[in-house]
Amino acid sequence: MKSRVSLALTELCIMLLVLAFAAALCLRVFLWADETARQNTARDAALIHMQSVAELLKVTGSPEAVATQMSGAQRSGHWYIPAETYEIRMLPAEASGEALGSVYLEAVYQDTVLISFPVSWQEVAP
Amino acid sequence: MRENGKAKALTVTAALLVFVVFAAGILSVLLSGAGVYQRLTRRGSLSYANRTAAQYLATRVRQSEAAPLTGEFGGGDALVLSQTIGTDEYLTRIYCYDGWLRELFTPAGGQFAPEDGEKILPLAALEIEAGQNLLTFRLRQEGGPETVLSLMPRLREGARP
Repeated sequence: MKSRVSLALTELCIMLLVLAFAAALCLRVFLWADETARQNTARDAALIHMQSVAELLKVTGSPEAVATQMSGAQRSGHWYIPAETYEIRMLPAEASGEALGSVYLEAVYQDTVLISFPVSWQEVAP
Repeated sequence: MRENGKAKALTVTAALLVFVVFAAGILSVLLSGAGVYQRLTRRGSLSYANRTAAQYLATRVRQSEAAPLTGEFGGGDALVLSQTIGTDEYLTRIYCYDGWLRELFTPAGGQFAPEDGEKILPLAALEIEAGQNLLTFRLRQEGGPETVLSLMPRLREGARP
């Protein structure tokens, strides 16, 4: 009887170890999935935000005016617009051809660049 | 004999305790997995709904022949796009009513109710601001954050302002 209980105890201990290992793997994957989903949500929101910033740049013709309108600020030579989970940076870029101005837009989430593209604008529409 | 019994009881208690820890471990892993899955799908669907609604509005503004106008319909803001087919003028109203983003295509001057509009996407609220050369849409899903989309309407050559 005693040996049977001991056997059951040993069996349970081994199962517990296996479970702990599997749980650690599962939790790591869960955390990764959660973080990836958070990042994807931020990317979606940032893309719409960046589209609005690009449109406003075309209307105002100035990153400063856009930053002021969207509660942004200036930091180390570039304007940025903070959002809940990410920030949009307007990095200075050289305007080429007929463009009046040009910036490089970047959406940054926890030091990771999610999306980036250049925006140039010509004459402001009357 | 009594010591033997005590040892047996201890072993059984230990086995039961290990079993309880085992069961609690399985339960907590399952529950955390379910929680992550729930958050993931909720975030995904909110994000999809916001993105689709915003891009739908952007596409309708871009496709418009004439300059888009704003007005009121169904107790809220509406985007009004006019279009001439033959000699008749038609209006497309895009608005939020009864938890849906709706679209209503009618002859100009006709009387229609907001519930007549075609349901496009679920949407809790839509606000539209028209500034100089700029349209700003504020969209909100049920229980979700507000999405702001600004658009500079572009007119095609020969379009009516």
